[in-house]
Amino acid sequence: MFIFRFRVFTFLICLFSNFLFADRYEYIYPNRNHSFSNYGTIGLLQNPTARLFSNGTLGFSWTHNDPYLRGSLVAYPFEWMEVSYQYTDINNELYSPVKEFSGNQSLKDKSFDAKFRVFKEGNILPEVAIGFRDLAGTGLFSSEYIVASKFLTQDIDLTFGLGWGVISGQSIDNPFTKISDKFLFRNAETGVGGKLSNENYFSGPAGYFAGIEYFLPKMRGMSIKFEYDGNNYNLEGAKPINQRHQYNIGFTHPISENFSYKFSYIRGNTLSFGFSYALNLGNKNSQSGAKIKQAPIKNVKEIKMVTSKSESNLYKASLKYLRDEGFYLQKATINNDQLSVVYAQSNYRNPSISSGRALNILDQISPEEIKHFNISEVNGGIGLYSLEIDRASYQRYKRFNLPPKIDETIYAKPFLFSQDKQHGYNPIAKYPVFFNSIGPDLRTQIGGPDGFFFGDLKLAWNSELLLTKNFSLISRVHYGIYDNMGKLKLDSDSILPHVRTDIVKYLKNSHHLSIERLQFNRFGQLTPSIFFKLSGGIFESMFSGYGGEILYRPFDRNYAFGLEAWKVYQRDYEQLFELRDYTTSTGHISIYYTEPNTNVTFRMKGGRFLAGDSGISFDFWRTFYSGFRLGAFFTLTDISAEEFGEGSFDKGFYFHLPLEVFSKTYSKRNFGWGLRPLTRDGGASLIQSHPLWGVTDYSHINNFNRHLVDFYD
Amino acid sequence: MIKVYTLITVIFVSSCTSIDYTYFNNIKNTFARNEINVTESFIKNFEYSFIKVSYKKNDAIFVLARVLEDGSYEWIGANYEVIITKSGTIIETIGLESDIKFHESQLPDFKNFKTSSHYIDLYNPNLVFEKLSFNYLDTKLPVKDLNYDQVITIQRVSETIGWHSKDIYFYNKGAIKRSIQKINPLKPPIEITFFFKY
Repeated sequence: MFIFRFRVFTFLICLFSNFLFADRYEYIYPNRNHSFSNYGTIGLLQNPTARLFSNGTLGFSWTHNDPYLRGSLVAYPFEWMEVSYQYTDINNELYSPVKEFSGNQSLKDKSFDAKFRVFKEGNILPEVAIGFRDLAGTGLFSSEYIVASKFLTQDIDLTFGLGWGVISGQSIDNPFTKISDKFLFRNAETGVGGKLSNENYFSGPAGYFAGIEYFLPKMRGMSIKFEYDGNNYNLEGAKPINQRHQYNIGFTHPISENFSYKFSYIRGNTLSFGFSYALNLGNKNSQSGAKIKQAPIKNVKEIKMVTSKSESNLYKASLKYLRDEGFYLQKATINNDQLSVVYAQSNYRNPSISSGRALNILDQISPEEIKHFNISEVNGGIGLYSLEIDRASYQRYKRFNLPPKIDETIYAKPFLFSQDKQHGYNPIAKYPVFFNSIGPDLRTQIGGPDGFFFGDLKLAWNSELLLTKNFSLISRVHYGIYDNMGKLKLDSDSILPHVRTDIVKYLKNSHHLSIERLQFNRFGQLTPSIFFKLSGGIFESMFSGYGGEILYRPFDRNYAFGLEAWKVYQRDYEQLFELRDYTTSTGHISIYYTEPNTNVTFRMKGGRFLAGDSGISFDFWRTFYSGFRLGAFFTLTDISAEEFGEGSFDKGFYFHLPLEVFSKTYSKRNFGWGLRPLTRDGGASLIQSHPLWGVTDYSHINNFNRHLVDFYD
Repeated sequence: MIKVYTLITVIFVSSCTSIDYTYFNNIKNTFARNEINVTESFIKNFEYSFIKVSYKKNDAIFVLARVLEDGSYEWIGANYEVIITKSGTIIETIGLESDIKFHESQLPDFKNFKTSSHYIDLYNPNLVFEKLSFNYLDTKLPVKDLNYDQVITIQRVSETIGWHSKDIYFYNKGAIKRSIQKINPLKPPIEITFFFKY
């Protein structure tokens, strides 16, 4: 008996000893990343696994898996969470039985999936996750699962799980019925979508599934997948699908670290294929390598000789050398041995990097008599922060590349920018100043009954006219190049004022020249923590008006409060200067809270929305180290689900991708993308340029603390 | 409609700059190569020997820090990265995306050899004391257009980790001028162009 136990023990030790030759395995099995299943999230072929990508990853997966064509956008907001949004083209069913409504277009289904890791894989225990398919859609693919995955060796990943809903093909008794009878039955009806069908979760028959993924050695991450299919194809989609047997086989081949393609043979009768692209965007330099360092200033000895002659020389040198690096000097003062400068800049999204670079310049050009620096940054005439540092400490820490310590070597404070305050040097800025750029702009309308994809390619001309330091005119003018919007014909069926659902008319009637925005902004600051903005003009494609907002955002607190009020007039469909009859007042009180460890910000916004409905909007977003932001929102107002229409309530998700993630240089430019599954009138908010939260995003101590390691970057 | 065109004209005329194509510059910076064009005047401005190192989308200049006792050259980059070469072959790097170190610096003369074996350490991912073989593949000569009189292709092989790659060395009058070599099987090759100042 002892010998038997010893052998079993030895076998288990060998089985789970993943760490032998761990270094070599990284070369033999490079890119041993898990890959997307035919359902668009990480998994085997048709079955899910417990695996996840690292947080901050954004992926796209496309699969042709007859009778489905599926495109998925997959995001990993946390180490333990996967969320995905998919469009599925169900080509064995028409979009609508009424041909006049949708022609011969096949059915399109929108669905939302989520997976949560419960346990991380250990030496003995497997990785365990709970997942949901078609969480808030029409329920055509609705399923839940609990799944465990374990690397048996370095190259074999075994998965076993239990599923409910569609994933109940290999039927067993539902173990949850031992807890409650409410798990006995599952409502098979599909609804209009938009609501969580939590009464069905883990209910009805359960089934098991299993499979392995085998990573081929020295094949750059290529893997073979084999599985015992857990799906019940009589429950899935619009019509039952024929299945010859339960065994599926396929492979995935990563062409690069980010891109892979896959082939599989499923259900014993269907060949499927697809590709996927996944990028980690959470790390600052994950896609570009290190940023180009600041070039040292030439002839610093001579410059210091000149700047030591007079204060005026130092001011002028500061103006020149700061400007060469994109810092625009607003004010400067020399007080005994301290040089204080106030600057504005538009290249850096983080105060640690911008202040570090500005200090680097000042340190190189300032005479030795200057012992302290005080640098402050402004944006739109609003003071963001002020930083004090002892020059000797700065030089000492920099020599050893040690990040400075807040409140020990550098002191960061809120900053109230006053035009009236006396400064030693007040460079005269010539107003008006005009900035503009031209770029392409693509608008899309996808998944409607008139067709799957409608889009228009436009030339967008963006401009900012600075009339004074804190008074500006922002504009965005479009000129259409190509579009297929003419085929759109679906009219709004909303019983609420058509504040958003006339989108088709706005898209169709703005072919040529249109003005998306022509907005005056006046920024100001009452105290270091209270900011305000007054605005008027054309705010967005559907509304003009006037109003303002005020934001209380303490520098060293994780909360903020905002108040905004607007009088708005609905614009005509041509999007020029004409107005329609509809006018309303809208406004909100907002509460913000940022959790500093994960950098997740939660905003609760309550008030009156554009269609006159009142309620609360919830918005969550996580800002990763790189500046990449993933967010989601939903709005609940005093209108019923029936009044709201399809989708039941307003919701959506978005991401902001800083372009500098791909570049060797810093830039504040973003690429933003968001999606509302349905455009409805309830819970609609005004879109206006430069909201105060964004303008003042810089002015928070967390932004310093988080990026101090980049101080000398 | 007149109002719109008037407005745009007014904004353009009142602007103090011409159209700023920063948007396109940003796209260009995102996808384009960060290229260093080494011209005659660029070479003249350098007091010491240097190498141009091309890796992925970026070029960088490394200057000669010292010549070591065994005849290898130590080159230093702008961010204090180090590349040590022997007869054009990288035998040690410090501070690159992934590094390599040969356990001995005695490498064969590629212009006259068949095969040789060495032990190396790789970093990121880390792998110590791995056997690496160089195998002669072919020689082409001369390459008039590129001013090289000999181009030698060498194969790098490490069977245990499945590393099979080709290095190319370009010579002129027996001196190394350029090399394209992989220092890590998982990463793209590094191209080095040598500019010696004797």
